[in-house]
Amino acid sequence: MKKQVLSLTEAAATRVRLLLQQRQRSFLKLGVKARGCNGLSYTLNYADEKGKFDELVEHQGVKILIDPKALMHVIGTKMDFVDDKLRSEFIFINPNSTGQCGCGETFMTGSSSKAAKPGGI
Amino acid sequence: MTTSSRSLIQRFAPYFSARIRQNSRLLSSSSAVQEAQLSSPESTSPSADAVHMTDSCVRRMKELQADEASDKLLRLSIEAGGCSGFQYNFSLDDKANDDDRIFEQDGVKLVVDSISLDFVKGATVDYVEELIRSAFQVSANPSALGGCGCKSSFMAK
Repeated sequence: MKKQVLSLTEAAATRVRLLLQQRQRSFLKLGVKARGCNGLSYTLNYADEKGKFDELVEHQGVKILIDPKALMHVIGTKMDFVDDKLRSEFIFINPNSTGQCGCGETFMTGSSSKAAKPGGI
Repeated sequence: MTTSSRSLIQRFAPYFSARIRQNSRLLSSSSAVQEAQLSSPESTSPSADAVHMTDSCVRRMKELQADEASDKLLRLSIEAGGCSGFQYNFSLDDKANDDDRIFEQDGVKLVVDSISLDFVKGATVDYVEELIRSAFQVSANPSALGGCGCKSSFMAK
């Protein structure tokens, strides 16, 4: 069985399905950017077309595109969605993450030092 | 003195005297503030220390209150941690405690305990809605020195 590059919990898949339906868009695209206190943070945007080098992941009936620059950082990540009164957000449980900001938004992986700009934020 | 330099002085005199008046006003007002602080240590200068809420924050609180039987307060507190020393914590509370400061805006109440208040004086609380998350956030904090890019952790001055 091919190992999932990215897996989604049911909660995440339901949320993605809802968002794509509401906005009538084809995909969500996952990326990373260098920022924050500890290296990288996740980005999520709508996308209508698969870019030539994007990785397409299909899980739980939804399609997520992964930006090629992000791929090596997010491989094996599980995407979840938490929703309480104070916040609702996608969270990423990333086995590659070697450290994490207290807020959980930024993370480091072994190769993030190459991606991170000097001077951080 | 020559006539040309006298007329220069005449031209600039009003400007100089206005500046002198302004400076003496500033000096006297700052000493008045010091006097006020010495005489009443409990009171703090109101608007500079207030924690503000954006319209988005107020709107979100009203939405939350619509679902609740009783009016909830938004509590902002500080805890040690995060990547920059301190981090913000938001919670919903039923009532304020004796040592809380309450900031009310448009019928919505934000409470901050007295210890946390020192770290968030003059800050602004926002409710940010993005694809990846919707959450309460401290969008600006003049009491903080610097902070985490994710805006949940900061260094105190």
